[in-house]
Amino acid sequence: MAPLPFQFLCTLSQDGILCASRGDSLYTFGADCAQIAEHSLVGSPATAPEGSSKKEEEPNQAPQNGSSEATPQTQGVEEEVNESATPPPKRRKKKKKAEKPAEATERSYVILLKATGDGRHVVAVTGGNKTVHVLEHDCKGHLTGLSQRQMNKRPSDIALTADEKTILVADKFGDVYALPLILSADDSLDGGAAAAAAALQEATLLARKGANNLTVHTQRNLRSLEEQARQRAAKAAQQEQQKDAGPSFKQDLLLGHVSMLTSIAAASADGRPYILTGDRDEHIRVSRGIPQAHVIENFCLGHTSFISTICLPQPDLLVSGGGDSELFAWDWKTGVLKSKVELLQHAKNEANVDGEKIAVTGLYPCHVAGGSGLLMAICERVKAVFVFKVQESNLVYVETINVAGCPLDIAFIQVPGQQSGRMIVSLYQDAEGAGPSSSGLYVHQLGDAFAEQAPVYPNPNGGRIDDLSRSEIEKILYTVGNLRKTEMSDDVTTGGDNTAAAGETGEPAPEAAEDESGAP
Amino acid sequence: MPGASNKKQKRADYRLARSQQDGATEMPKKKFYRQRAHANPFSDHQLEYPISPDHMDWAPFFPAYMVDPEELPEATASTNDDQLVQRQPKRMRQDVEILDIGCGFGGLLVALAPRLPDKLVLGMEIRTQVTEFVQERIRSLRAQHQDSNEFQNVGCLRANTMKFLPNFFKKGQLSKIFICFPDPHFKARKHKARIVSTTLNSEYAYALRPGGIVYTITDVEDLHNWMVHHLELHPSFERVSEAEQESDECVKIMTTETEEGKKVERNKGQKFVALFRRLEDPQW
Repeated sequence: MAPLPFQFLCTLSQDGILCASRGDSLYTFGADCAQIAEHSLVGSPATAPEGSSKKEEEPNQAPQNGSSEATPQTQGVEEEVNESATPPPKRRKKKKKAEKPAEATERSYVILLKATGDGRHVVAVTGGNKTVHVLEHDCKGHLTGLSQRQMNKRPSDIALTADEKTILVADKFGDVYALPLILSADDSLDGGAAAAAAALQEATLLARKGANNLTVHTQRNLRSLEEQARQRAAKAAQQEQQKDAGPSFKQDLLLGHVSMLTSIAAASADGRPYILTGDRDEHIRVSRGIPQAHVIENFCLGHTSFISTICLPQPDLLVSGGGDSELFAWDWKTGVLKSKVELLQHAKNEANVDGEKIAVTGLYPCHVAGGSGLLMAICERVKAVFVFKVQESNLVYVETINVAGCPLDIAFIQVPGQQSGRMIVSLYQDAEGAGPSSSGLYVHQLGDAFAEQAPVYPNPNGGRIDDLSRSEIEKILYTVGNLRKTEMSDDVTTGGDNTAAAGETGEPAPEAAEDESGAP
Repeated sequence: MPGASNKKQKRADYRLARSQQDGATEMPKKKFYRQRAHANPFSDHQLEYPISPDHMDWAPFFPAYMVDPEELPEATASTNDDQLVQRQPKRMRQDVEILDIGCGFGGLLVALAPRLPDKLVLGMEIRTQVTEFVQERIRSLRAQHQDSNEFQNVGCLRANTMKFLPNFFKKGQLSKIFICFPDPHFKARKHKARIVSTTLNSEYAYALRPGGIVYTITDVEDLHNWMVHHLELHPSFERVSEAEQESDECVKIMTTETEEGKKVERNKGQKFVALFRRLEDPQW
């Protein structure tokens, strides 16, 4: 058993304040590495509401069961959601699954963390309840919750638009939604009303959906058709009752892949915004920004395995990584591949990686003094940070820094009064004997040698830290490797009518998991 | 299950026999290629698809349209930055322009090809057995029409278009996309699996050139309403007027020649047709 390590990091403001997530809590540290505050994202027991299924609805449509409370005190999410719908009878099977005690991976731990450039706002996403939290930062290290919005599907990555007024949320279902960072009264009321109206329209459309007696012919099918009509009438009546069941929040569907989205980035060129999205099926899509996000400009195609992360170290240079053994550098505007930069060989030679597969989990362009123009890459279960340099709009390998544990996230901090900034790496020590002390936040002074210091940031023991088994922790920390497609027997060999069914059962683990995790 | 293995054996025997007779003019029999009518578009399957349109080798599908290597002027094949592009496949004289998504047993393809002799027509189908049938069908038709050289402009391959359309086609490459009798996916939970959706329409708009047409036909009224709703809502598409729709030759073929269309006819069902034109992208 071991406590969870710090997982995600982000930099708040220019004063060297660091925000780190562990489990469901956020911790802030000052430039002197002392802890300033702790903020739990689950003040009240905000576990994923179960059996509040709204899955009968079209996935593209705004959920009605979100919360739009502007104040953190009114945590109306749970009550509102639980009364929102008794699940229709045919979902009974699904519900049974959802009633299993939530596994550690299903708990509401932070899965994404981002801060605005000015450090005044933090966006955190908790996994189990698929909720996007926006917090305000007072520039002194104290966080205040502003809003919680529960998404329909589990977010897989978030980005902020250039003006930092909109959060782009990419989800496991392949869709990208735009949420306003700050909820205005307008958004929560008018937006909610509009969403409710859209939902109602969809419901009426749905009411007419289904087969009719001209499309089915056997007696049995005709009988079930009648049954469906009866159920639909009942449901319509129920929906009529819940018409004003509570405000929803504004979320616009911008674009969508059919493949699972893994990464999103906001870019701009010639003063116009663009959205870049990377998916599990090797595509990077370049779409126009809001309000023309429906126009696809081009694709960056070249990866042969999943993409897990993309970043823009320079406005015109896109770097992507994932299951391939190289990093890819793109001119994203034209979709032209500039270069592939070897990673696996370095991992084998300098970080004792055996095996032929590597999964990039993070790419971190550095913009603070002493490391400007550098790009750090980390890989799942590899005890090293790989340093690259951006040179003439291209990527060049520099060196490998060996670290004491497996890096989970990286942040850069400019410390006031110091010439060069520091790189902070959250490490997880996976060997049982090594003791938990080697997990923590490690500091590397940027500059010539990346001089490593011991974890000077404290490992606070206060608060609610769940003690978990190693395997549970690793299930939470290591999610990227699971994106790799498993070798399935080709359905030619199974032959005949069973093939399609075989294809269905062979669904990859991540999607299956998404399906089972049930309703928001 | 003794029945199943027996069926498997019969199918294998049939295929072996067919592969042994070179240039078979006899049409393949459907009964050896039937497959359950639904496939999960979200599962990984074991699909073959090119890394990008430039990597696609069309030679197995349109052998008559391949450019001979000698014809290729040396200047165009730049050897310097070839390391990135890897091994370039052979080039085609012209690109595929007409696509039938979910071509099924290929009725539309086979009817379209002779009427559009100067265009390349491609069918994409997610079910392996059915794809194989269409490929065999095209092979026999080509053998039967060796003198007239008909059916050289039609091909079929297995693909999941919902995921991998941009791997096969460049921006604006297509002029017509046919979506005929798609899987209705009645359950609301499955609506994301429908072939027409707000988000997927962007990909059709990407592959279609401005002025290109999306043809839809279905026997399910609700699905028709759904497709009209979502394509009309998409800023890149406008509905083609009723009059223009009537005068389009492809509409007639689509209504009468598809296998599913014939089945609906037999059952005296309804057919709903809707056409949508790809508009120019707005100023950016």
